[in-house]
Amino acid sequence: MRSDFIGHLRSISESREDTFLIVGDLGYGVVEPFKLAFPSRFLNAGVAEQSMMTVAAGVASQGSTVFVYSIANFPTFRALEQIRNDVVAHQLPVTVVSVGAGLAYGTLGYTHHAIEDLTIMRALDGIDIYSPADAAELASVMPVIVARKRPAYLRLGKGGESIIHEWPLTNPERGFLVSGPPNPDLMILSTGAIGSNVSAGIELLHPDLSKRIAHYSLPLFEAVESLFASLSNSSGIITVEEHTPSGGLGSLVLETLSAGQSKVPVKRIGTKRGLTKVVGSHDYLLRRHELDPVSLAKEIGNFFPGLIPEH
Amino acid sequence: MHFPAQAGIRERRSGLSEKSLALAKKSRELILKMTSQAQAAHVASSLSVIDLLAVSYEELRIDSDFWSPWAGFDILILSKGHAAAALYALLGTKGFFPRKALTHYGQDDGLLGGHATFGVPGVELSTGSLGHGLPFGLGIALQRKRLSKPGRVVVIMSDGELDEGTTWESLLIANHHMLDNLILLVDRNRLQSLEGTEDTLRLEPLDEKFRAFGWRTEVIDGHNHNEIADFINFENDSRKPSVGICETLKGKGVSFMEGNVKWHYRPPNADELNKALDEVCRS
Repeated sequence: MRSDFIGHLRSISESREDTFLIVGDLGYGVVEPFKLAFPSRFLNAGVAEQSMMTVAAGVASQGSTVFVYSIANFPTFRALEQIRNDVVAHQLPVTVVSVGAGLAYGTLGYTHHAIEDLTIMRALDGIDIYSPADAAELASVMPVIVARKRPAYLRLGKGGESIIHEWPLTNPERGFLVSGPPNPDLMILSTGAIGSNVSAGIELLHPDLSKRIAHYSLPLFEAVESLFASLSNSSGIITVEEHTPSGGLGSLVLETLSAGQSKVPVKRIGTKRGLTKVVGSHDYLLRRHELDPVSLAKEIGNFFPGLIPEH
Repeated sequence: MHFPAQAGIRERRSGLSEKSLALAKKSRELILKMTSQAQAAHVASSLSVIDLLAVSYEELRIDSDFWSPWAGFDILILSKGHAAAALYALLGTKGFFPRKALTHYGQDDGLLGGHATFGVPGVELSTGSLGHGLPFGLGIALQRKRLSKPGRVVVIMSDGELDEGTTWESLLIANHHMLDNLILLVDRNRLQSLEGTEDTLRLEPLDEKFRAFGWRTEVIDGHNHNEIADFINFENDSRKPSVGICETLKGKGVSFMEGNVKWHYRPPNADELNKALDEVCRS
């Protein structure tokens, strides 16, 4: 997905002069095409994330739409105060791009696992959160980010994500229905590439159950609000994210339902606590965190049947 | 060490140091009144930096009539945001906003908060957390170089603020990209929050540190308006950013505040205010 991102940025930059890419000494083999094509709109800030973020704000103040690119927690946790005080508080058009959402950097270990980033980004007052699941969702959100020209967080997979959707996709603000009926009594919301495991998990369920489940993928967090009617009319909701269940998509759903006085039961599925020392491939870690299709099918199968009203 | 006044100075409009001296004197008076009325902290921090600010506003092309954020010919950023009273006193006097707004400094729902706040006309960046002004100014300087836009970016930091890691990151970046349109002024009053700078985190030899990072470095008297002006106006084609280590006195202008850490926090009471105003107005 990171190469797709650079591809989109390049083609946007052919027709717009105001784009600017700053990297934190990362992106080997990925960012060079942009640098070659637009050398005056590229900066490697070095391994200096805090200054990088404020430099981005300074560049943005001069009229540029800036993308700050790094991996895992480096552009978020390391530079959080700078995002908060310099980018968001001044509403400058800087998009913080983090590659390697969730457990994608697997064997590199906990320092490279981005599983709390949505919580801290969501806490900030005035930043849009984008978490595309595949190349099609990424293509749908890029024009939105560029058009809005305001603070944004773009959470990307590392690469090799399964395609969930057919192209092209439009209106990512409302989320995308991946499978299931339009007026479901059971709903699953996912964000990011984990959506492909959710789809695979749903396929493992008994058809009598799976036919009643609508699976939505949300590349934009604000889509939760637009889905409120369907959510509050359902009998049960599951949220799935490659992220802690505390503070990300699941929490946003709880907050939204609570604000609307809806009492629909919600199960938040995400990464598990106590596994910070575990390393392994992405797939291995997903299994350890019970985010593989088989574990998800089990969780779905345990949660929903108890909620389905007797006819 | 005094800056050689003759070498490569931009032509200065005459009579400016009289203007900047008058501006600094008026601002000192206002700083004392504002912090006393609001019972706010940081009076001494404001008094040490006001000369740097006053000279900057007279020498740089920052026009209150045409000011809009980040768009001026020259840009001035007060990274030492807790000296907000100094900045506001100056901006109010120069007409960036009505001067009577200064009486609302630090008041409920007022425009003028205790740290420099974006949204106040003339303030380029909200600064209250230290270490943000230099990388922000450097971002502006970098993009202006790339777009071949003229003008200078001046950032004023405190010496205690240099402790922040972003300082040293920014020194590396600005040097690497040869940003000779970037000027850093350090308010070197040698005090920070608990003790002196040299008892907290030793900065000396500070000039050697800046030179080692490849910056054009001078040590000047931070209360001598001619020296400050000469430094800001130097025609820098060295392809290096510049830093002026400006020797100052915290609380400068009020004898009982000078060099005393408690005045970082303590606002003057009515009696102290009268004594202080006496000294400032007589000077």
